[in-house]
Amino acid sequence: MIRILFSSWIVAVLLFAGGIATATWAEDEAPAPEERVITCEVDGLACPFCAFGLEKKIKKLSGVKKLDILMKEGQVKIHAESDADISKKDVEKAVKDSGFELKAYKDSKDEKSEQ
Amino acid sequence: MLLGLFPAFVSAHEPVFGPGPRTIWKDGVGFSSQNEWADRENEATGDTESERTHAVGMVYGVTDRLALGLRLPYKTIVHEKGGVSETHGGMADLSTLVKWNVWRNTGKRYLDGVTLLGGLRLPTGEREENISNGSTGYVMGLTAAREHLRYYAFASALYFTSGPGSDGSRPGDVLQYNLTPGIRPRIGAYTDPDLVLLAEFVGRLQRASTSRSTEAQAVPRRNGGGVGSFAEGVGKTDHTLAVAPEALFSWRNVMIKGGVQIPFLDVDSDRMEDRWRIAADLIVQF
Repeated sequence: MIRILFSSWIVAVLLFAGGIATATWAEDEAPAPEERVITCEVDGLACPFCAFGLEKKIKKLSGVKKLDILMKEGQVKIHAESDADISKKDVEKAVKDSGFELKAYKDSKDEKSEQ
Repeated sequence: MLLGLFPAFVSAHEPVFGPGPRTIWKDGVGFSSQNEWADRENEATGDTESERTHAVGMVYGVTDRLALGLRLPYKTIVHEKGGVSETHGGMADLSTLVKWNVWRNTGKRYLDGVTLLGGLRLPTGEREENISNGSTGYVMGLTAAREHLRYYAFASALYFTSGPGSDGSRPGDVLQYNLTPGIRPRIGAYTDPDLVLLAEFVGRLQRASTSRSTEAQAVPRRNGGGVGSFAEGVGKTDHTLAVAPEALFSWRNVMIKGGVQIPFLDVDSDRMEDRWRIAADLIVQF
C-alpha cells in the first residue's frame, strides 16, 4: 500500500514536471509570429465616406491583416504579417491613389532591426 | 431640369444641388439613385407644373484627380394650364460629366480643392412626350471647397448652354452659382455612421429661350429653363435665389443625402418658377 502511494506520487510529480517541460519546449519550438505595425500620418482625412477608398487600397496590399483609420488623429495604422511584402513606396502609392497625402511613415519592422 | 445636366458625384460629401471639388479614388466606381420632385408656377398666367425625376448615375475614377460620370433620368411632368392637365413621361436626356481636380492642398483633418468640370447633355430623351426638345446641352464650371472634419465650405459656378432643339427653339443659357456652409455635429470613429448638415444657397441667372414657332411657345420648356444667350446679349434675364437645408448621412461606403430647395427671391415672375424642389439620393461606392 505504501509502495503504491509512493509510486503514485512519483508518477504525478513526473507528469507535472513533464507537462511544464513540454509546454516550455512547445513554446521554444514554434513561437507565435510577431505582428508588424505600420503607423502613417495621412493628410486630407476630412470625411469617413471619402476615406473608404483608402481602406480599399491599403487592404489590397499583400499581408495586411487589419487596418485602423483614426480620423481625429489623422493617422492610419496598418497591422500586417511580420514578413509581409509592404514598402513605404507601396503605402505612399495607395494613399495617393485614394486622394490623400502621406506625411509620415513608421514601420515597427525597421525599429526591431535597429535594436 | 438643370440637374439633368449634372450627375451626382459619389466620391465625397458635396451639396445636393451643386457640385463639390472631390472626385473618387483611382479605379473607384460609384452608383447612385437620384430622385427629385419639383413644383413650379407661373404667377402671371396661373399655370402650374410638377415634375418628378428618377435617375441612375455612375461615376468612375480614372485617376485620383479625374472622374467620369453618366446619368440617365426618367421624368414625369404634369402641366396644368387653364384648368386642363397634361401628363408627359419618358426617358430624359443622357448626360455625361468630367471632373478634373486641378489643385489640392491637404493638412491634418482638412482638404482644400479646386476642380474644373464639363459635361454634355445628349438629345436621347423622349421627344413625343416633350421630355426632351432634341437639343444638345453643354455645361462647364468651377468648384472649390475647404473640407474639414468639423466644417465645410463649398462654392461653385456653372454655365449651361444648349444648341437648337428639333422645333427650332433654343433653351436659354443659365448661370448658376452655389455657396454652401456645413457642419459635422459629431465627429465619430471611422466606422461610425456619419452625419453632415449643409445650408446651400443657389442663385440662378436665366436668359429667355429663343423660339421660332408658336407651337414651341406653348410647349413647356424642359432644358435650361431660361432663354437667350448671355454671349449674344439677347433675351431677358431672370434672377432667382433659393436656400436649401440638406443632410448627408453615410456609413462606410453608403450615403443617403437629401435637401429641400426653397426660392426666396425671384426678380421676374412672367415664367415658370420653382415653388420648391426636393432631392433625395442613395449612393454606393466600391
